[in-house]
Amino acid sequence: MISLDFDARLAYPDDTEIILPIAVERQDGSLVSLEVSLDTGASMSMFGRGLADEIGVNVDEGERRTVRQLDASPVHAFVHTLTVHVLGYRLRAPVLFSDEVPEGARGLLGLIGVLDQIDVAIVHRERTLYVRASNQG
Amino acid sequence: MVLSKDSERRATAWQPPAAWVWLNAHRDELDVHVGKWLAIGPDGVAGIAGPGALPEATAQARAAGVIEPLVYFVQDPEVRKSLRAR
Repeated sequence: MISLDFDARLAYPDDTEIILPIAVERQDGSLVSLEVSLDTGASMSMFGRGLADEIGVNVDEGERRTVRQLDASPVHAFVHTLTVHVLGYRLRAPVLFSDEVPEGARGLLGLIGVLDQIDVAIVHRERTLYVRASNQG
Repeated sequence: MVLSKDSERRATAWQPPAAWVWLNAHRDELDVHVGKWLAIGPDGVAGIAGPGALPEATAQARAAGVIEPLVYFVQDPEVRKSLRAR
């Protein structure tokens, strides 16, 4: 038997995605609240360019990256490191901004910078997510 | 947010914990708490905190004697509807 202790237990109602409320810090410390999808299959977090203005990010000043979708088609993006508040944890995480994310689509929270700083366990049958800081061993 | 009818059907199918039963029974009242984390125990809401404060909601519920509160973020159903329509 393996057991893990978690800080909190979160209910999510959707059958097809895990939607989380997060907040992103602007340069002046104010917060932008938004909803994102937790995507354990995404290597990095990704937002559409439309969010950049609201957050105060100049997308084109970021490091250019090309990432691959499931069908191996390329997505061109720019990476910026943001301070993101996720489920009560304040994280510094790289986020890709891309023109290829449809306008109005939810951003994705991926592995690097997020799921290497917080541990989550998903019991989808119960639409429940367990969460803790990743340094709790 | 208001739980969907699909959620109600699913709730029957997967034998929800007491907290989910409570959520379904009180879903109309939850709209007044849009943007809040609710920490729920067997007897209902045991903690309420703002958008960035999941740990506080959990701590309130634990202080009230709920050992394993289930926290739930109440989303604006109109926002969710518009996002899905895009």
